[in-house]
Order: sequence, then structure tokens, then C-alpha cells
Amino acid sequence: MEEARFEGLGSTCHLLGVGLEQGRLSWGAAWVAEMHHRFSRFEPDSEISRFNEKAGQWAGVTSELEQMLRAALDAYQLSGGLVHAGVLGSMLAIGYTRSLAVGPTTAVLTGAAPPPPLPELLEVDEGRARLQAGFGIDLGGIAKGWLADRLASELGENCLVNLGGDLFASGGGPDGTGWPIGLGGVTVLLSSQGAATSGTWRRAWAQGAVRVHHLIDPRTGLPAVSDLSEVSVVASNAVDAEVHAKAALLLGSEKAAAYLDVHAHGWWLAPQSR
Amino acid sequence: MLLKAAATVLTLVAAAAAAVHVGGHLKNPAAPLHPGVLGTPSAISSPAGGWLKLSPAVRVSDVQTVTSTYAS
Repeated sequence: MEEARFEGLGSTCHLLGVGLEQGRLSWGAAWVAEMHHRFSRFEPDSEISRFNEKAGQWAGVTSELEQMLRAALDAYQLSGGLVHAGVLGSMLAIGYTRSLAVGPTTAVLTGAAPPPPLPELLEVDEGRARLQAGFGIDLGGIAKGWLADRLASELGENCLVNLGGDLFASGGGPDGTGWPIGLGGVTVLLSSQGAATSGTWRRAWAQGAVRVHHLIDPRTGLPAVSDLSEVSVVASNAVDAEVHAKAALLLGSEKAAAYLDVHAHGWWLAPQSR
Repeated sequence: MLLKAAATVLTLVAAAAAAVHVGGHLKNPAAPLHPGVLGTPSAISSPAGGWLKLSPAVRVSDVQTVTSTYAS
């Protein structure tokens, strides 16, 4: 089994493959780096930054951006509106204006507001898309999940792609029984399945006496208030797992279990007091 | 005539028994409408804290993990 670890997409990435040459994994790492430059909102010349700048008019989009924007619309529908890629305004208002490696800027929470439904903000057509003026898209975890699924399909039949915790396990793993993955303190075997975790304790910081984190609740336009600190989900693919983990965290423990029983292959819920 | 009387008595006895049973098993009006996580019968406590539930599509193993899902 070959593997490669590297920093990408603002987190740690891990690629593993059975029967793959190391060069193939190196290609995968380079592909992730390229995607980071193309789809990071912190890069002023990235495709997503240029798309956001053109809000209010139809803009040409690459196949990858078109697919990610469609995935964002699917995520909105799948989560009943809880996973909303159009919360960039709130992200900027809380001070998440640049990479947290550099540090957040001062929050101006009065600028955070619930956005209109995503289908009212974003239209996607073949090779082009239009965003309503005054709004912006943050692909966030949707991009990570989508990229993990996509890279796994490119790498081979028996591989695992983990992009900052959003992962897709393809094939039977090292011994054919599935890829052994850590989730909620246990080892689970995944085969042709995705997993992801959403949490409020990472990418969090203090603004005076107020604790701020990056997970925006589109119902308020503010950082989510939940009795759950972390949710991990196994689903058919990484992007679905990402969507359901985030939706469940926003729902809170009372409703998350029922929601995940319908949507997930497996789940782990961690309370705030953990 | 005897058969009719027996059927009537049997019906009355069954109705009375049902009334007693239902009266003794009233639903708790203070019970939550949506059961919480702890009320999910098949969710188990996780070694890492919290609650874990896996469908038959996900198997638990004691093999060493090669990677993990985590919040980032």
C-alpha cells in the first residue's frame, strides 16, 4: 500500500492506494494543490473569487466550478436549506475574511443576516452561472467533499482520499474487507462510501468575550448555536456525508438522530460538554 | 337465547377489561414529542464520548485505522 500526506485546502490531506504507483499519488497531491488555488476564496484570482466579483451578471464557469455550484444547490435541497453556500456575507461579518493561519479580522456581527434561499441567489446553466448581486459563495466543505469524491474516482479502484477529514474510500482496502477508518472512537470498515465530520471547536476564535466559529446557521446568519460540538457521518459519498454532518450539527441532538437515521449509513454525535 | 346472553356478557366483560387496561396505561403527557438521542434504542455510547449508531452497511473492526475523519 502506498500513501502520501501533504498540506492542502487549509488542512492535512492523506491519500492511500493499493496497487497504485507512488507517482500516481504525487499526481493526486498536485491536483489538490491546483484545485486549492482555483477554488479558495482567499485567493483573489481564484475562479470562485472572480465568480463572486461578477455577482449580478452571468459569468462563464469551468466544468469543475459548474459541478461544485450544482453540488451546492443539491446540498441546499438535501439538507432542507441548512447547508447554504451563500453565507459568505456572514463569514466576512464574523471576521473570517482571510485564512485563519493569518488570523481573523474584527467581527461586525451587525452585518450578518440570514440569506435568501440559495436557489433564489444562484442560477447554474451549462458553462455559466449567475449569482445575485450583493451575495457571495463560500464552497467550504462542499468543495472538500466533492474533490475527495472526484479524486478517488480518478486515482483507481482501490484507494482512499482524505481531504481534511472529508474522505471517500473506494474498493476493498488493504485486505479486501474495507478501509479501516477512525470515527467516533471506533474503527469502521468503509467500502465505496464517504465520511465527513463537522464541528464547531475548530476554526473558532474569540472576539472579546464572544466565541466565534466558522459554521454559519443560515436561519440566523450567525455562528450556529448547537448542543452538539461535533458530528461524524458515513454516507454514500464524501459530499453527502459533509452535507448531513453539517445539517445534523445545526439541528442539534434532539432532531439529529432522526435526521441521520434517514440519511446516513452511520453517525457519531458528540455533545458540547464532551 | 342462552347463546345471545353469553355473547352479550362476553362483550361487556371485554369492554370493561379494555377500559381498565387503557386507563392504567395513559401516555405520559410530559413526554417529549421528539425523543432525544438517548431515546434512540440502537444508538450506543461511544468510547470517545457521545453516541454512535451504525447501519449494517458499516462494520466495526479491531484493525488499526489507516486514517480518520475529523473536523477541519
